[in-house]
Amino acid sequence: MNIAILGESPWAQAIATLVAEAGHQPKIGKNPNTNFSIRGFSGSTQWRHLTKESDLVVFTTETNALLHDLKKAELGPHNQVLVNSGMDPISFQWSREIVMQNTPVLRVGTIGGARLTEEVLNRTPTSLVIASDYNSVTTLGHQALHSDICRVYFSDDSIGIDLVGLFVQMIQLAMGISDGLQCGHGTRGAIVSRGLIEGARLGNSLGADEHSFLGISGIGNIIATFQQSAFYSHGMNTINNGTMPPEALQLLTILIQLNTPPRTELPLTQAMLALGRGQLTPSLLIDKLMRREATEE
Amino acid sequence: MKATHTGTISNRLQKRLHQKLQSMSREETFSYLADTVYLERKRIQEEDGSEYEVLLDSAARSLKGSKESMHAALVNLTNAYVEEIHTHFSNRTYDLASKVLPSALTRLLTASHPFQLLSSDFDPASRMIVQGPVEDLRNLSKEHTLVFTPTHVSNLDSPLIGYALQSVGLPPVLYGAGLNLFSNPLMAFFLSRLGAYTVDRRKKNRLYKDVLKAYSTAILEEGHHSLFYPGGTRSRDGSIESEVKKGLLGTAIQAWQNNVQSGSGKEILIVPCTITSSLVLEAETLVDDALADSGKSRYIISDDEFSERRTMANFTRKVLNLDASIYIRFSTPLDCMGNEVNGEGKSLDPLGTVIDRKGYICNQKGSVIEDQQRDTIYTQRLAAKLVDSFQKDSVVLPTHLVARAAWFALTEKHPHLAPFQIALLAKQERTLDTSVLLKKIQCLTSQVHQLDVPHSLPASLEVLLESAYQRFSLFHNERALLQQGQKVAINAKLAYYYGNRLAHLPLENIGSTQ
Repeated sequence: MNIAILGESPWAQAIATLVAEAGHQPKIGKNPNTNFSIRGFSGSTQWRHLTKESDLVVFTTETNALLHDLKKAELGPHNQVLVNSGMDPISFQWSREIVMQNTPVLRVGTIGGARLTEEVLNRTPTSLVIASDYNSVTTLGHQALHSDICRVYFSDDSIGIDLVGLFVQMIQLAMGISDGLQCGHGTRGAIVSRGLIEGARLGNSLGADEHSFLGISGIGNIIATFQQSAFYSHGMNTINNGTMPPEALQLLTILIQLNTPPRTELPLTQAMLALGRGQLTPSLLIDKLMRREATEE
Repeated sequence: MKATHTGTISNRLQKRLHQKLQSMSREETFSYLADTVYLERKRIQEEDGSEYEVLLDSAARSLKGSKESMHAALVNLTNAYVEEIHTHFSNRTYDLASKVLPSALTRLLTASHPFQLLSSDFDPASRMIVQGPVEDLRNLSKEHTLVFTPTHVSNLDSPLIGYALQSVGLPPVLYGAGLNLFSNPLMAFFLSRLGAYTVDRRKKNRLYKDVLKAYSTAILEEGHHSLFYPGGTRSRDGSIESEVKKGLLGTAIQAWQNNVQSGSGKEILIVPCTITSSLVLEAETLVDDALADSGKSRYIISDDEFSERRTMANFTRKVLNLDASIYIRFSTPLDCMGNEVNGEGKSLDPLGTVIDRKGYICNQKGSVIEDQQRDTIYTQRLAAKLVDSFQKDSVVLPTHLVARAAWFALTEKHPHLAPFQIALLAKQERTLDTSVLLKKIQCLTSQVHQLDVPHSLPASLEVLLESAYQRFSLFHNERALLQQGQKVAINAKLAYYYGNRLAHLPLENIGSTQ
């Protein structure tokens, strides 16, 4: 099976390792202008040739740089593509939508779950999920990445896998804020459960399957990555420095936008956005959330 | 274009059925046939009919036999269904329409006829405006097979689009028409001359649906231009289709793949199309259905002239009196995946670059990869693109805008009532000051002008209102709008129905009527 791996990110090394572990020869797209390289694998600067001959193209690029790499890759209708889950805050498009809006490719899938590059390189057992409307994409993705060190699950809930990725970041941000305020484990538990419920409710209203929030890319991802997460650090920094980093504000704004017009209540997200905008103090944030009327679990 | 023969179609269908049955286990074959026998017998019992009795008895007996005997029973039923579907199709008239008589349809729509459908001074060309990339479509129709997919509000849509195609030099089409329409001699007259085959919606069994789809696939493979109403049935509430059926639509991609596989080189292109008319013949009946559905048992149909309205005499009278502009607007053609196609028949990606669409179904070596799940998603995408085209290309006419304004004014006056409750209001409760209606019209007109949608609205509000009054006065038992001095009495049901034609537009109900 021919698998092209495109995009300069540490995750590219992990994907190449997983592909090799699954018994395939990864073909790496290199950039002649940068020193970026993937240890142990050969590559080509002719991305067009790689995509032409590939059964599957995996973009390891982050969402904000995806458009640039797509142009370089010159994809065709025959290509089947995997991208990281995520949303571009400017175009307000999911990664898979960026592919479909800017290339002839229709068969796109999203990789969700914890991206733990170091653990993959150390061959520590891990898991990922691939979501696509097309069974052929999830099947190819499974064949390309599934091995003894990585269990690959598949899903047809693209919107769910995309959305849960954002909610995981929101929950990690909230946990950083909570830890910054030196709240206890009970607060963390409440944040995780209420955050996931918020996400599942919004997901339901957008046509997602709430079970996606309980899977690898949801609860599994929170547990796997929270203390290494940039958003956890953003939460801590929000308390320590008194201002919320722009990436965190952007994330919260996107989530509120996704709920426009309002389909469900997002109390945790809204409270954190108010904190980020300086409309609420940290202590009032906790107070506001704790004073909400008790409801059924 | 060559004629389609029942035998040819039957052979193709039998071949495909055989392939399908080969892949089925005995249990699956049993279930397939048992389902057919059960549902057909149930239908026949309910309708007190006797068709296919012998075949069904034989099929029922075969259920106790071998897989081969069940296959034979399925083949016999398939042949019977093909015969029925194909019965009303006339090779002779289809050939005449396509080759010999370019003015046949004009005469059909204009000339004196036993039913006197339309008066001899009726001039369709003056009342029907055909828009869109007609020149491109004419060229494409010479090389490729076109599937026209119009919006659907009236049983008159078929003759209208048949006429429109002929009037701009586009080829005639084959299409499926409900069996019930053939029982109406007037419609049968039209349908048999417009290449219609029969669809019996009462038959719900899997075999019939499979045969119908296979029939549609086969005629597309043979290169017959076709027409589907993707909405499946006439819009009940007057709105443009926001969802479309994917069954027949999916036969386009199947036929295209078969063509690619066989190397016939015949491409299949989808042409979205909107039919927009100021008035709709069946508006009152359809909106009654729509409101009965939304109001469930609480809604009482007050109009008891339904059956009388369906009589031939009344039908003819209404059409003879119909004087309304009709817009038939063809949109940019699409490929089977929903990509836009240029004038040369090449598919374009979202950035407008020409692409080789075979890549969507073939591997790098150019061989077709069969994948039904993939094709289902492609068809869903195509369906979504059709809906986009319908909404983009529907023409806003004075009757629609004025009806929408009237409906907005009524909902503002009675904010707590559901549509079916507004429809039941006493006349004084649905009478407004003309000035109130004019304000609403002004507000909606300015919103329509800000949207990038085609319209045919006079610049003057008074002229626009007068144009709507004039058209509404031509037809319907109770006018949609009736001017009474400085007041206007609104037929809420018709205002709802005609106003819904603009329901897809983001028009806000701004401004107080109080």
